[in-house]
Amino acid sequence: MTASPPTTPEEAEREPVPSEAVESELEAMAAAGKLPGGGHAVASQWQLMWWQFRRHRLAMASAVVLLVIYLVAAFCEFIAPFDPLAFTPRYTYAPPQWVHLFDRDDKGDLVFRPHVNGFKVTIDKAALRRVFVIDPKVKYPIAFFVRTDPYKLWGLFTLEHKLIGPIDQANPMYLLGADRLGRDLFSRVIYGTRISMSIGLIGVALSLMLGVVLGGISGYYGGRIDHAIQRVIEFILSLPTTPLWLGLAAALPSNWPPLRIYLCITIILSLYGWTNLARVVRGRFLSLRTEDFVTAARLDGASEPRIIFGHMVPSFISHIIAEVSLAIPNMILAETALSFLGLGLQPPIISWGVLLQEAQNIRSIATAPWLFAPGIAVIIAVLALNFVGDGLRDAADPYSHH
Amino acid sequence: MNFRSWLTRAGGGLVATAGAALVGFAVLTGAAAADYHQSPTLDDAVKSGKLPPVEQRLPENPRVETPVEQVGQYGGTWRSGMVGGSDRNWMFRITGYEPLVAWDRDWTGKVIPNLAEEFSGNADATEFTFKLRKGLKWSDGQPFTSDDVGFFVNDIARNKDLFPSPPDWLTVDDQVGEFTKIDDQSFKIKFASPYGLFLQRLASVYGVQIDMMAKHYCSQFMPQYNKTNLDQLIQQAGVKSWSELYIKKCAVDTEANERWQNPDRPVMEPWMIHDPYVGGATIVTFERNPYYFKVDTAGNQLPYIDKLQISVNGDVQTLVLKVVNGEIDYQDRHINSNSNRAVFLDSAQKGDYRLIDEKNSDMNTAIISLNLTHKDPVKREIFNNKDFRIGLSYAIDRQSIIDSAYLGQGEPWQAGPRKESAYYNERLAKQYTEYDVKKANEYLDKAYPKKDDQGFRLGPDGKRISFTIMVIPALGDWLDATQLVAQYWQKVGIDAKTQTVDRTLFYDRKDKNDQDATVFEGSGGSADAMLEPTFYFPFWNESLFAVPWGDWYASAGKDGEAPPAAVKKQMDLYRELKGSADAEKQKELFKQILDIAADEFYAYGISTPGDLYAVVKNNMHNVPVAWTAWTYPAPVASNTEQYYFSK
Amino acid sequence: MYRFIVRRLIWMIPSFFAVSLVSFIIMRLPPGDFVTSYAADLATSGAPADQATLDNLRHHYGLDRPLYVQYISWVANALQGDLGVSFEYRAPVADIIWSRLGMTFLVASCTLIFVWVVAFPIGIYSALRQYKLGDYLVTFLGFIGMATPNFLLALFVMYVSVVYLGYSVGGLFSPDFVNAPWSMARLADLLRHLWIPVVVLGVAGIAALIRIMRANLLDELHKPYVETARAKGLPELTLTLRYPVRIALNPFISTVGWVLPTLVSGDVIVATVLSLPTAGPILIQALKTQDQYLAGALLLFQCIFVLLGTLLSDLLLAWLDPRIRYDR
Repeated sequence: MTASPPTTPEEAEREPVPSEAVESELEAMAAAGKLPGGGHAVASQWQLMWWQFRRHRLAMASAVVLLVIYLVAAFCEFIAPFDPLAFTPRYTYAPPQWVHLFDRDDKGDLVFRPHVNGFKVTIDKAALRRVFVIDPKVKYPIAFFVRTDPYKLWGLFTLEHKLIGPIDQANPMYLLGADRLGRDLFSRVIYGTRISMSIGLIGVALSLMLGVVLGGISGYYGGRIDHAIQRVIEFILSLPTTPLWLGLAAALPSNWPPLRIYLCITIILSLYGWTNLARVVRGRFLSLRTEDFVTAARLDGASEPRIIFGHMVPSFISHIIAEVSLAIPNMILAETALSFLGLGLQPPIISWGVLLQEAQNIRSIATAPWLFAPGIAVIIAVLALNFVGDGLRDAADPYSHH
Repeated sequence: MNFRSWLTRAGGGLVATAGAALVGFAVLTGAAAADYHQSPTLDDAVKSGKLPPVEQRLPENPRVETPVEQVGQYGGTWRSGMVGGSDRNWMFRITGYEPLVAWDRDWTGKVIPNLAEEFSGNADATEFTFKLRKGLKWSDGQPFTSDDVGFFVNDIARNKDLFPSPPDWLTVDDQVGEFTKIDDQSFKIKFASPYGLFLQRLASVYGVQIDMMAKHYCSQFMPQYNKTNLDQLIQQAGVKSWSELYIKKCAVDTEANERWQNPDRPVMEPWMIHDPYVGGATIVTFERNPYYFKVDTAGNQLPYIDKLQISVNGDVQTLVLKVVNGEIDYQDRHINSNSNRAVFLDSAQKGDYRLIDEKNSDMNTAIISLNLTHKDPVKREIFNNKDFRIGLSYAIDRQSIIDSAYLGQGEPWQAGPRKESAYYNERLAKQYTEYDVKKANEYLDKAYPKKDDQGFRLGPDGKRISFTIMVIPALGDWLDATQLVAQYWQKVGIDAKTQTVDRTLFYDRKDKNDQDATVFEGSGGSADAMLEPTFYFPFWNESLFAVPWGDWYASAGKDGEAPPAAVKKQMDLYRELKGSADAEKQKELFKQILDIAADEFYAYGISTPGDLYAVVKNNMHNVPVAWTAWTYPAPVASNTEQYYFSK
Repeated sequence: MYRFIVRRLIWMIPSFFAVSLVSFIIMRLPPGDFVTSYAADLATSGAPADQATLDNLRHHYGLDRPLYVQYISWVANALQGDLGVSFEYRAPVADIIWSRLGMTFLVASCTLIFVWVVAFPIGIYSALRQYKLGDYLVTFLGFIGMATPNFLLALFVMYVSVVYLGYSVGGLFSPDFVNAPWSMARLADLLRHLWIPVVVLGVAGIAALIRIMRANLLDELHKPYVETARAKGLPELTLTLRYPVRIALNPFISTVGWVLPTLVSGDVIVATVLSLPTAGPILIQALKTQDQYLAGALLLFQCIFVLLGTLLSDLLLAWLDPRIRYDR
């Protein structure tokens, strides 16, 4: 069983895409006289990767989007205009309000005065609902860096300004509408970003550790150890994911504090995720073991750790990064799925999955479609991560065509 | 058309002669074919001799039911839906209630004749006599007699293999009632000590157990009756013992799935199972019971509707969509949440249905119980401090919760019976319900004035007062309200947090008395308040504010923990109430119990639940605005057999 | 080749035991057992059962025995073909599972065909138009398909088909046809229902397969033999279809192996949302109520299907692609 056919599509997909692009970049540079004579390429591997990555425009744009998303996750207290748990009975199921940038002053001239319109609210007794009509006459001015009640950022720093908000905090500003309790969905999505995006990161970090260590051992030493680890991986892959998650998540004692549940869910998600990474790492080690530069290093008398960490790991770290960026979206989707089943995270924790679970009913589709905004957030994040991963993968192998 | 309109007109005339007159007439004339009518679907079977004619299938004195609106028409299929593989109680609720004596349709608390045409109890409520209608028949045509009741009381209820502990409703002081047969129609049940609530318990949902077992059918699965081929039957069914076989075939439990799995088991109910509710079934159907013992005022044998067709759905939302699409004829279970109202109203015309109000018998949307018997002495001391409890009650803005979580339905309410109920107690229901942060802080300052640097109050041990409220997200609309309550309590310096738990874990922990605080629905708000005084005193282990006290009462002092004097006083009063056969005296005693409950202030309520509703197709009629409860299983107790479809 | 098959089959025996053990552990991980959950169920409806009844039930189901005894007797019985009884349904597990596997297989195979039929041409197109507008568009749409949580999609599709198309939803048949004998009308009814789960379940798979097809084909297209063929003047379409596509087809063959595992839990969540009469919803329910033998049997089936499926794919690949040999 020496040949290893691509048994899973993931593995097949991992085959590097030839990168004639880099070649052309190098040619272009040579033509422009940037490359010194004598064939000395001054570009480091990272630089080459960067050049290649830059050419993937979708990936570049996605990287920017991703940066913004993680900034939002980091500073969600500051960015969210309201407390995500604060409820307002008057505005249950209030629709989104549009931001108007310009207004007419007393003379009828157009002036820059950002505002949102108020609502005319009537109560439909039979259907037990509030009917909202945007009232263009009522204008609530909004601004950046508005003053609010003091709050804590990361539980450490006390701040008194929010990125955006109504100048008078009592006025409604539902940029994405309100949920069934009149909570601001925009603020909730912002807070959900922190949990959902970090669950991916932490989970992948765990997978990465397991994957690199076990995959490394497997690939570097080979033989019996390799055989054993490979069997374990095959076994884990043969376990059905959903029931496994279900069972494990159901087993979590629910008297645990939410934070611990959150961490455990991430661990559960990563228990499965490490296997793929381990396979990639192993494959790389296997092929690198016989490469000339490794042999050279060995002949030079370099120590084992130096060979592994000084020579081998750097040569495939880019692949690992690409793999990781593709693993994160799966974690995010898995979290939403678990939350949907009522396992995973539970309110009052706010994650995109929890928000979607709350919106997962006909009432929301029929009368309050804005409640699916967290779904859009999931799609954007997953898309961005996939494109970045795609770009990284293409870029990871600048020498592959030689 | 002309046949039916004739029936309708004839019905008008017969109403006047309903009741005893009709009975006498039937008895005298025997088989007077013109007087009773049957569904046209049975005509062929009667003609071919497969079924006896209708007057021979009916008892001599059938129960004559006055239709809610008018005499109906035969035919049609009632489509509804269940969710998941263990939703058997929907079938219980639409066809599974046919007791010896029943609640009246308006649920005033009165008990009326059903299978038994006469019943009475002696003065000290120890002995009850029943007389069955003569000529009652099981759905397979075999007669239903005293022996069937005796079979249940003597052979089933006392059998340790089937009932490790005997059915609660048939037991006083751990002793099952004594059954004595007088003749084929008459029998007595005698209790060791007074049981003043026996008739009400018999009319309640579990009372149907007494007439669920047809002796001629079910006895073949018992070793003392079947000496010939029992082993063979056990083997055929693939079970290990006779008791397993019995349960599989005859479903001892009223709430068991088996009750809806065996189409061969004879029933007394209006419809009998056809496509059973077995694992993997996606649809369950019922067909009319040709021997059903009720007629309408025009002499038409009930039920009007031919078939029940119940789809088994994986998810509630599928069922909601089916309603919207007009594929459901009557449904309330699972779908009648407040938030769905708007969805249903928007599609009412397209789906050709209407919404019918249902009176909610619950007294509260959510009861929050602090654990007064907490294992931790510090928390116990805090929770038992009445000032502390009052302070927390004032801290809740119930109106805001009503407006946001319950769409403005209901009014602020504590754990007390509803206003329409005969047991309404204003103090119990309304005390400490206003939202007043100042008062809240006054009371809390009286109890625990010290605060830490984050503004949270400190308990007697100098540590922050902090507890979790356990809530089951899968049940009811409690989670939202609980989260809001926790926020209000945070504002007055009490570190309360909500904790969502799975249902199983919830019960596991409360049975072990491991909870800080819990949320549950406030049932027992109407005629059932006296039967199920869960939140009025520690009655059983569902009295979540003091489970060990409840255990103590339910086990007559054997388990649990002895409560304080005031609680014991309530328990004594209730014992006295149970021993009384006089309804007025029972009411008076119950009032005293509620007064003490108001003094003790055991648990918090939020608000009265708003009316519920059912979605009913426009062509379905005779559907009353009825109570909905579990003790009074709705809608079947409002006589689903007389619902009909207009053509 | 035979050695390979035999080795794989032998390897499946320890796998089976490991899998059965893990399935059992998963089942028993949550606190309590079926009786606890049943008791909670009774209590919620207002009639809490007393301890004696519960103990009796526990004894009756053998849940009072030590866990290892429960495990051993379960596996021993399973090997003899007795999968035990479902506590919830009070029926033999086998009856419940078999009644659902047929429909599960139907949905899974229809989905697979749908995925192939759609993904195959689009993947080729995308590869031939690499970095052109069409490629970007397809890539983008494909990723959106992958990024949308499919339970969300299921709900939307269902809503649209009810409100705008007036279809009856939920399940695979209209109520009138559920227990009807097979007929043209019943088949038509089935097809009217089938497209929703097939589309919803297929979307993510399509996106993934398009990506794979594209990547593999791109690899092949840059190989010297293609250049040679092109230089020799072979028409572009013939050139592409004749060799590179064939080789790029390999991953498609691998997906055949997926069908078996999806038999049981293909997509548990989607099947629940759509009320499909497949095995998934039963599995979820069984896990939630700790109906251990039912859930255990389903998990076991799933794992065995995964093992068999992988073997099947490998064999197909070896048969189709002469370059792949499992033993020298």
